[in-house]
Amino acid sequence: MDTVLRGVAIYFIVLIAVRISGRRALSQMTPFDLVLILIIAETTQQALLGDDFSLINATILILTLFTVDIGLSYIKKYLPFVEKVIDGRPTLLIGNGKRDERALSRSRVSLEDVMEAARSQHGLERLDQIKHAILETDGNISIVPAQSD
Amino acid sequence: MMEAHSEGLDLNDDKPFQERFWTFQRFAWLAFALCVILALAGLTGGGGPLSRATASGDAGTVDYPRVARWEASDALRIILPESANRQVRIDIGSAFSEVFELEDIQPQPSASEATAEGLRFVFDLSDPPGERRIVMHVRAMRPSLGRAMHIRINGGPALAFAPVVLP
Repeated sequence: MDTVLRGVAIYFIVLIAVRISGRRALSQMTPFDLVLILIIAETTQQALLGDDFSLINATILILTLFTVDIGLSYIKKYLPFVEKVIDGRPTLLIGNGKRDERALSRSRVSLEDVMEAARSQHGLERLDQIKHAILETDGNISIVPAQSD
Repeated sequence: MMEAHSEGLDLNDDKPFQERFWTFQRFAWLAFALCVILALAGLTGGGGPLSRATASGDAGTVDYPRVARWEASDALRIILPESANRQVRIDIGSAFSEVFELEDIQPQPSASEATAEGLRFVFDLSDPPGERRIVMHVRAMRPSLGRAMHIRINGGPALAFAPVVLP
């Protein structure tokens, strides 16, 4: 019984912590993000298993985690509000070349991050070549380049 | 539901929700910081200035963890004053054994019994004077919200304590 409770508890604790920490933590493997992910993986391992290393414990844990994941995906499908809260929504950072300073600062995205995405996705050189920049729910920035005249 | 954005973009964003979420997020970060501060203070167990407390009586003092952690090792100390005799009898209420597992007792008791009240240990002490200690290494076997426990030294009044065991 403990196994299921631990599994569910850790699943939601990590989900909530990652979601609240801000989407930028999900994308872009900077060395800092990598260290964070490795450490979180290590901390949860022991909390999930306790001191019970039996096969049945590991199996129940894996099944519990998958079940919660699948259950949550159905809940998200039927309750759009839950999906909004858990996955979030994209944020428009630059629209028609115009910057939304508040969105940029609240999302903690710098213009340098936007330019990096613009360079890697489209090889753009300057900010004014960007038509739209959107912070997606997975933390990546999508760039729509301006039409070259 | 994809709505045509004012910028001519089909984007499924939700500005009012996002603003509320950002505000909520900032409050949550404050809560994170508060948790870290509480942990540093010792209120989540595992050592720290506020993590231990004592229950005192004439016959001695029980030094116990105010907050213990599930399946983590901890220590309970019984401190016997200068005046204590060469032998001391410690009675531990059964509520203690229902939450904590006794891993180790230092020094080893010279006698131990199961009683109606719970456990009884008899320890040999060196000659007075001098403060003497009995250390019990315990492990919390289940989470508990401050279950009332007690220890009696030499049949005296119950020294009550109620450690919280965090999961």
